[in-house]
Parts: sequence; structure tokens; C-alpha cells
Amino acid sequence: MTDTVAIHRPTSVSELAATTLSAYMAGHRLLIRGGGTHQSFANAAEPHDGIVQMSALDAVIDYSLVDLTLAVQAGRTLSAIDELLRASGQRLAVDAPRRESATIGGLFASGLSGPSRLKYGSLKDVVIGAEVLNSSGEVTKSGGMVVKNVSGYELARLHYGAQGAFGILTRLNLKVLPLPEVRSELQLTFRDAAHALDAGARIVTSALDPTAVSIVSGAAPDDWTLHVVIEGSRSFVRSQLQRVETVATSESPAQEKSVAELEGAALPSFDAIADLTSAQGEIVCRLSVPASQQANVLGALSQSAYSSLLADIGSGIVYVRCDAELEYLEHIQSITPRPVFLALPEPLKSGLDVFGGADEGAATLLRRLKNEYDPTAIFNQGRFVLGL
Amino acid sequence: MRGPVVSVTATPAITAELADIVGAENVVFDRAGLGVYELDASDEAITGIHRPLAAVLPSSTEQVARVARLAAAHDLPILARGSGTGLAGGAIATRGGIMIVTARMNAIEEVSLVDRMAIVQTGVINLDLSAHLAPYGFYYAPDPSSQRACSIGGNLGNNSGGPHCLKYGVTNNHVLGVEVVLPGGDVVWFGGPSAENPGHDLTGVIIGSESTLGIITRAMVRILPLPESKGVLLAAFDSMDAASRAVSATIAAGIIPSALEMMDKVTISAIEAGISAGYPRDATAVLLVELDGPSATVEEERARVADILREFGALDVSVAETEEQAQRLWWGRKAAFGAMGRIAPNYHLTDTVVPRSRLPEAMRFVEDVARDYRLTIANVFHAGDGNLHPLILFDRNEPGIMERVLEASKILMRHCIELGGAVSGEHGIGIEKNDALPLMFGDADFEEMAKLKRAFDPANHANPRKIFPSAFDPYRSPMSSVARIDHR
Repeated sequence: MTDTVAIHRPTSVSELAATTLSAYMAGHRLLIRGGGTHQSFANAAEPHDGIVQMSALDAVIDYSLVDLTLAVQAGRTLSAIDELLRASGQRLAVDAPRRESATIGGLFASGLSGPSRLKYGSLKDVVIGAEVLNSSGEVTKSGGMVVKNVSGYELARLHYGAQGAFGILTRLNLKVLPLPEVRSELQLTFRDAAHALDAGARIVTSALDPTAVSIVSGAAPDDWTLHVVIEGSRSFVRSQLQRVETVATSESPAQEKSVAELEGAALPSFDAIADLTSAQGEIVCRLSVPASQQANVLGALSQSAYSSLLADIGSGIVYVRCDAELEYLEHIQSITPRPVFLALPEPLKSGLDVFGGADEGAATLLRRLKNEYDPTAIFNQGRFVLGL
Repeated sequence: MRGPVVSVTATPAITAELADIVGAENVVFDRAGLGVYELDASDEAITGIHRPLAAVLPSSTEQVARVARLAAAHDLPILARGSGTGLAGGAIATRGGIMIVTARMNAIEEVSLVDRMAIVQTGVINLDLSAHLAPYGFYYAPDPSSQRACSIGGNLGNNSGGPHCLKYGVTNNHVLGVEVVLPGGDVVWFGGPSAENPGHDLTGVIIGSESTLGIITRAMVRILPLPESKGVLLAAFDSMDAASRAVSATIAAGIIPSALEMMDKVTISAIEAGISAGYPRDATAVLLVELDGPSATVEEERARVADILREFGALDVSVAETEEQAQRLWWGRKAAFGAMGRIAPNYHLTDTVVPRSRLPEAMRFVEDVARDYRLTIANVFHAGDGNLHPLILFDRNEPGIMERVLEASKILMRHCIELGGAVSGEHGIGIEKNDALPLMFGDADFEEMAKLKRAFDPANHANPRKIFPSAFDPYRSPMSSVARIDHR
């Protein structure tokens, strides 16, 4: 350990490799940073000697319009990717708040996508290859630039959600999609959470083709709104919206209804709850709850224990935001096994594994993986599961 | 290169222990019984014949775990085998050991429509799952051509594809979680019913690992509502070039068909001689396009695709108006491999992939190779994914032919990689393509893969000698000059 923390802002992969190699040789610890939008997530890092700021590694390496593939350096922001693709009528179909700051590498290492994964899959599903700088400063690659590719282990997936514990992502190869003509969101307010969840369940089990289906808590305790996103051609969106409404309200009527066109890549209801940069003094947590269990979990969750809640029916995930009080934290922990805390202010965070730990067999494996990939513990030490 | 026939036989002590775990009727150790487990569907001229010490047919995860513990205690390799339809030798016992056959682990344990999830034992046959789900209006999307026979576990091991990957992705995109018996016998779960599990989720790395990291005993898979409607078109072209350009043009127009298959003249003749599917005999290439989704969208896109195909030179476009017509158009494609027998008694399939935009060049190269090597090559493949399947047709009895076939196959694969492609699209690496991987990766890349192998399988018990190039030993760990920190 040195007394001062050096800030590195490499402008090339070879410069980053040199920085990593010298850290490796000196036994120095590095903290890798993307856009900082998910810094509050993960366990606290152990003291480090240097910070590597990835933002200058933001080049477009390869973009093939016809092949629907894009390779970018990991420090490129989502909005810079959006802008590039939009000019060609394409897009990256991955939700993320703060797209102007969030980097693709940071988002991948955080392992977080949004409700649109119902239709398009998660960020991990659109990555077809990756380049990773390993702990001895070597540039390594896996996968490729083709959408179907069996060529050894899918190593990119090891780094998804791994908080940089196993290496520094320097490049991601992505599948992109045509930009839809319209993105619309239908909002239907129901008289309670159970009716809103039922309506959502009918939609995901139908042959309708929604992009995302979730319910969101409102200002009043019994005020629950079903949000259904539909994307595609204007005629498709119009007819789907109509049919979604019919299916959603077939058992009980909605109190209120509205339809809004969504702008750019934003998904306001999700962005509001998942934006960790706005969570000062708040807890943001994410519970893995399949749609079939969401009514039970919502029933067990005391309404005073959250300020906002989004239940993503399509992905089986519940997001909860509440004031940073120990009693709320314990209440959430008592309701579901292994909640993941995306934002947790000190002192609540200290001593807690925000991922909820791991079962014994998986824990042994994760330690062995860390020993193999980062034997000298130079990368983001402390942040991953079990403080790895 | 024919591999040696391993002549080691199981000791009575080991067979007794195995019988104790799975029942005597579910242990195979005699020479005659093991015959069926010496090969899979790969070409034995490449992968050879390898007899396992014993094959066992467990019915539960617990039995698999006990077999794995036993194998570790005796320092024997283990490997999984589903239905033996693999084309790359992944399920061949190159180092002997105990083969764990999943055929009896065929329970569909749970289906939850609202969670769009099913939990299955990995011996479930791919098509059986979709058949089970059909009454509920659901299906399991990955559909390799062998789906009537292949197991979900084999699909997971190979990260299998199929004709519908263009829109729906490969197997890895449809698995939420897996239960794995690690080498040594520990049982772990990765993932879960949620679509994403921040923290650790090693599901994605174990898919495609060909049982070299452990044996997947249960899978939680994503299921989807059946599309409301399907539209099928068949377009005839007078050149492969024109058909290839039409593929790219369709996708560039913002339409993602659920399948986009191409067949060449050799294939069309074989199909028509075999089953008379009604394909245009005078065409040099045909494209089979399938669209799916809500009825109104399918109808609209079908008309747009027909226009694009004509604009790009289609001589004739047939549009299926009824379900029966659609099935008829697919019938030819599905019968294509079987129909090749009319042309030659044997075929060798090269599974390789290029970026879709490079298809015209790749197809011209296939023609050149056929001419230079005096071989008949049929092409029937997933054009939308750029996934080529050149089928080299030959008669094994012709002296010297095998060398020519394998040489041509190697050259095709190498060229596809030069065009930005990969060694395999969907059939796996096994022992068929492991020595081709260095065309894509270097030692540092293999060492990254080796770290994964060593972490999961410190004693090298899980399907050894697969995936890694034969010249690369994943256990020859480069000793670090820096003191290692033990992460306990």
C-alpha cells in the first residue's frame, strides 16, 4: 500500500496493460471505474493504491450495419452508443438509467439490465464476445463478432456481474437491433397490487408481444399502476396497445388509463427507481421474486417500509426503495432470502455482504476462481460477493 | 486419425460400487453393451472409437453426485452423455472413465407459465419439452435439427442452436439456472428463476462447456408463449450470390425473421428426387423465410419480405397461405439431410460461421473448394445467422477420399475464420475442432479458459482432453512470480 492514490486515465489498452502490469509486479491494488453510476452498488472496496478511470477508452472498434453487430471499448457511454446506432436506425436494446454517464463495461460488470429483458434478454444475452485485460496485464479475448459462436468457454459471461473481480473489460462485442418506429407505454391503474399483478400475469402468458411488463407503486398506498411497454411499427403498437388493454382489464376494470410515447432509450418508471446516483440516504434493493410469488412478497412487505416499489413481472425481480433505516433493512431481509442491496449508505453497509453471500459449494468455487484469475488481488478487491 | 480403442475393463469392485448407486440393471460394463457408448454422431474418422470403463444410467442428481465422488476416489474421468447425437465428439470417452448417461433423468419437474419457466432434468428430450408445453400455448425456443432425439443436457453442453436462433438466440439465452454436480461430487445451483441474478451467476459459463466443468443435472429454462401466427415464404434465385444478398437486405430493412434458411442446387435436386416437396428444380438457390408474431404484423412483414426478395432478384416467390402449405415448404428443408443419401452414401458436415455480410464471399469459396478438390458439396444452412453447413458428399469406399474431404473441410473452416467467423456455430468443439481453435485464439486466451477449468475441476476429472487444443495443457499452470493471496 502507498499513501497516495494514483489516478490513471489510460487512453489506450496498451497503456492500461502497462498500468496493470506494474500494479501486478508491485502488488498494488487498483479500483476500476466506469461512469460511476453504480459505484454505490457492491461491497466496499478495500484500500487501494490506484484508481483506473476507463472513460477515455471509448472508441468504436467495429460497426457492421448489415450484420447488426457493434464492437466498442468498455468505457463508451450508453448514450454515445445510442447516438451512433440511432443515426443508422439501430439500437442497443438494454435499459439503464443515466445513460449519459453509464459505461457499457461498467453496466456489464454490475450485471444489471432492466424490464425490457422480457423481450430482448439482458445485456449478457447481447454480448457475443469480449476482450479482457487479465491480472498479469495481458489482453485476452473470447467469443467473436458473429451471432452464433461456439469456440471454447463463454468467458464473457464470467465477467457479467462480477464487479471486475476477475479482470478489466476493455472491449465488448454486441448484438444490436433495428430501431423501432415507436416506443409506447400503456399505464393502467388498478385498485390494489393484486389486481395489477393479475393483469400483468395475463399479459405475459398470452401471445401478445410486450417489451416489458411491470407494476409500480403510486403516491397513495393502494394506488398501483401496470406499465406495459410496446415497441415496433406504428400499426403494430396501436393494435397491441388495444389488445393489451382488453386482456389486462378482462377480469377487473382499470381506474385510470394513459398512453405515452417513450423518448430515446429512456424507460422513466424503471430509471426512477434504479438510478442509484439519486439514492442519497436511501436504500435501493433488488429481490429475486418470480412473478408467481410477487403477490405474496408484496403482501408481506409493510407499506411503511418503502417509498417506491417496482415489480418487474416479466423478469421476476422486485425493486424497493426506502429510507436508510436499520428496521427497513431487517424487514426486507426477513421477507426474501438473499436480497441484493444496490445502494446502502454507511453505516448500514459495514459488515454486510450486499449480495447476501453464497452457498457453501458456490463460495468455494468463487474463491478458487478469484485465486485463478486475480491471485494477487489487484482488481477491485473487496467489492464482489463474499468480499472477494 | 483413428483413436485407440481403450481396452481397460472395469474392476469388479468398481462395478459393484456403481451398481450399489444406480442399481445393477443401470450399469453397463461388458464389451457388447458398451459398444453403443463408444461413439456419438461425430465422424469416427476424426474422433475415433473410445470405450468408457463403464456407462451408468442414474435417475437422480444424488446418484450422479455419488458416481462423481466414486470416480474422484478412484481417480477416474467422468463425462455426461445425453442422446449421443453430438457431432463433435464431446460425449466420447477419450480417456475412458465413467460415462454418465442422462437418458433416465427425463422428468419435466415444474412448469410455471406466469414465470415463463420450466424446471427439467437434463435427460429430457428437446422436442418432448415443447410437446409438453404445447397444450398450454407455450414452447421451448432452441430447436436443433436433431430435436426429436437430442437431450436438453446435450444442448446445454454444446450451447446448441437451430434454425430459430436468428430471432430467439442460442441455448445460452434460454437458461435461467442450472444445478451442477461438480467434479468430486458437490452439488451447486447457479442462477435462479429471475432473469438476472446480480452477484454470482455462473450459468452462462457452464453452458457450452461440454461437461468439462461439471455435469448439469437440472435446468431452469425460459419458455415462451407460442407465436400467434407464422408466415412462410420460399423464394427461388438463379445464383447463391443473389440469394445471399437478399438475406442481408431483408435484415437491413429492419425485419428479423424467425428463420432464414438457404439451400443450393445440389440440395434442391436431392430433396425433389427424394420427397418432391415442390421446390423449384431449375433454381440455383432457394431461401426459406419464416416470420412469426401477432397475425397483423406477420401479414404486413410477409408482404414486405416478398417485395424485398423480388427486388433482389428472386425469380419466383411462393407464399404459404395455409398452415399445411407452410409445413410443406418446411418439409423439404427438414428432409434435406436425409435426402443426401440419394447422391452419395456418406456426408461430412462442416459447421462454421461468418458475419452475414460475408456470405456471398463464403459461398463462392465453397464453390471453389468443391471444384479444386473434385468434391460434391451441398449447402443447406442457417443463412440468417451466417451459419454455414457445407455438406461434403462422398463414398467412403473410394480410396483416398477421406483425406480430400477432411482437407477441404479444414480449408473451408479456415477461410470462414479469415472472414471474421468462428470454428463452430452450434455443434460444439469436443475433439473434432479443438485443434482448430488456435485459428481464433492464442495461448493467453487459452490460459484464461484454463483458469476456469482448473477452478471448477482441480484434479482434471471432468471430460478431460476436450475443447482445449491437444498441444495446450490447461493444467500446466504458469507459476506466478508474485506471491499469491489465498482468498479464504
